[in-house]
Amino acid sequence: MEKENWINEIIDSTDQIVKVLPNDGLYAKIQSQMNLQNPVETKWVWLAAASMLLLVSINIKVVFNELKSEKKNQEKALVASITDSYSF
Amino acid sequence: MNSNPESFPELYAQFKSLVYNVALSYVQNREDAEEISQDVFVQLFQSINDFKQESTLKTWIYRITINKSLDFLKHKKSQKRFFIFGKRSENEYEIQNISTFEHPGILLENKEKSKILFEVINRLNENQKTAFILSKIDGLSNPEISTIMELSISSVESLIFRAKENLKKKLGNKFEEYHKKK
Repeated sequence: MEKENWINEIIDSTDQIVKVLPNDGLYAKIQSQMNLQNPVETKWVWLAAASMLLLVSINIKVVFNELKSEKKNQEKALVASITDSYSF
Repeated sequence: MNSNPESFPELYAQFKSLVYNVALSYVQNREDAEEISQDVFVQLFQSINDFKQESTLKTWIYRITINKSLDFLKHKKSQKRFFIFGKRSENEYEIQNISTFEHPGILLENKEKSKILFEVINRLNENQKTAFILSKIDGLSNPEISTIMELSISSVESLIFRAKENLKKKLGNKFEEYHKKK
């Protein structure tokens, strides 16, 4: 009986529990953590992606034009050399 | 349960006590409970737009807090296992001190008894522990607990019953120790 009473007293020991409040500084900590983890706005992400894409496209275009003009020069040189050697 | 605070400071003011007290019941340490509260509110801030009205805001906050608390305890347990092979640190002592927790919201005359209760609650499995904490310490009704835990009311009743039976068994053993000390 004594054992049973003791067990019940232990189980009921939280019966009149009072809610406690966290430290006053907690909100400031949360705010600083939120500022650290504040994600970059989507518009900036898209802007950066578009800039990268533009840069890559310009590079490809420049390289392609270079190759094209080099090929043209080579063709011209070939035609000139053939003309020279056959004295047309 | 149907309040939707318009701004984050309002949300914090309304739910800080709920989050902190639930976390405190699980981790039984004021600093750790504050760390969990911090994580819960940061997650709320980041994902408040993902909140679907399928459950109430309060239920959603309860779920996040419970999950964060359980994850925290799992992490601590894994750290404890690691320390068995490694160097002891201050954290290990914190883990060992978990059973000496005195809840700040408990009446002075019940402090010693509740210390024993919190020690024994730690040995319950996750579901029984959650059901017992929400029912006995947080004072929620069985239908409220069933919504939070996404279980039927009868399952919640059974969990609380089994939790109490397990606690009684474990406290029975404690009784002998306690009276030997006396």
